[in-house]
Amino acid sequence: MNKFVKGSIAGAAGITLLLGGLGSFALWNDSTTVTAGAVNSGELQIVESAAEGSWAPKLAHIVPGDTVTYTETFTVKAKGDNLHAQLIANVGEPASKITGAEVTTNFSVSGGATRDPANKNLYTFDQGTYEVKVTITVVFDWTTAGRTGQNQTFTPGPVTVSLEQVLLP
Amino acid sequence: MTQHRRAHASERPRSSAIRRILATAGVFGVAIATALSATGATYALWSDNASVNAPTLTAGSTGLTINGMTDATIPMTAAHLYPGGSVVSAAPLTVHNTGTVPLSVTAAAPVFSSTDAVLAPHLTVALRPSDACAPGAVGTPPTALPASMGSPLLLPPGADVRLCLEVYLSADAPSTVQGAAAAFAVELDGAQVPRS
Repeated sequence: MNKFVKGSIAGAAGITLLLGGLGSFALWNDSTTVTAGAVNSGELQIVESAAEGSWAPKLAHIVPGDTVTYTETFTVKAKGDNLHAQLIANVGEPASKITGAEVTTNFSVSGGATRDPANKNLYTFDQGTYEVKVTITVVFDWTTAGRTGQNQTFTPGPVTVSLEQVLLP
Repeated sequence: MTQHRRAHASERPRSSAIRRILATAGVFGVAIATALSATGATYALWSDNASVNAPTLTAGSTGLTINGMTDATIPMTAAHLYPGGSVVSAAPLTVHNTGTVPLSVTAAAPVFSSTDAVLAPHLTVALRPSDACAPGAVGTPPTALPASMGSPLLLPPGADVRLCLEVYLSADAPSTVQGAAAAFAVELDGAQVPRS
């Protein structure tokens, strides 16, 4: 056997002895525990108010010269540090109308919401609590003559208020 | 004899393997991007909506009847007219508000048919609120329509008012009117009273 081979065998035997002994290299290590705090999600919702909307004044039948207004309020709850939302109102066509009676629908949003000057049905806002008021006004023209518009019914079309989160650049 | 070994020959398979892995990852990357864009519409951002529930509104109506009809023929007492005398409706007329609004009731001047040119100019027609119909004193003409109604009658919905019709022949009617006949119509008007 030459020296090289002897040396290799000895080396291999030595390494095997070393490895076979304790089984591990004791390199430095340490550990610690990460305690992450709670993360809460926000909310975005629109809620009808407990009191039902109603026509005022309360009239069994409207006649030329009457003006009646329906008011209903909603509460918008928006929570989120980076939350930006839009409120869009849609007024559908009435199912039936009274000839001579003009109908207008208006929306207003309390404190802090910005109304779009180009579209009065669009509001933008950040987190907070807002009150949305919807009013439907019916004006029965006093000059409606003869028997025009009698016994007719005004059935309001679907009026919806939609809330949508938006991403700002 | 020397043998030349190409020491770099073993490197080529390794680099081509890496290139193959990268190429595959690239293909997956493209596939994932395509999958994301193909689902198309939406980021699922928060939204909510609410509906306005306005109840219906009904318009009212107007309606006026005389003795239950919109066009009534009034029977007069059977007596014949003579100058200075009058005949009255056999019973008071009942005017009824059949609508849902209060009405202010007035009456227009009588309209005679065009063939009554002989007698009509000498007749005075009066219609006035009264519960009993009696002719006036002989020779005294009654207040003619429309003034005979007085101020407009206020008739609430569903209410009645009674009227009397009197026809008087003027005291100076010529004898040429003897035996003549006349027919006329009186229109009652009910106008909506504004809410106070």
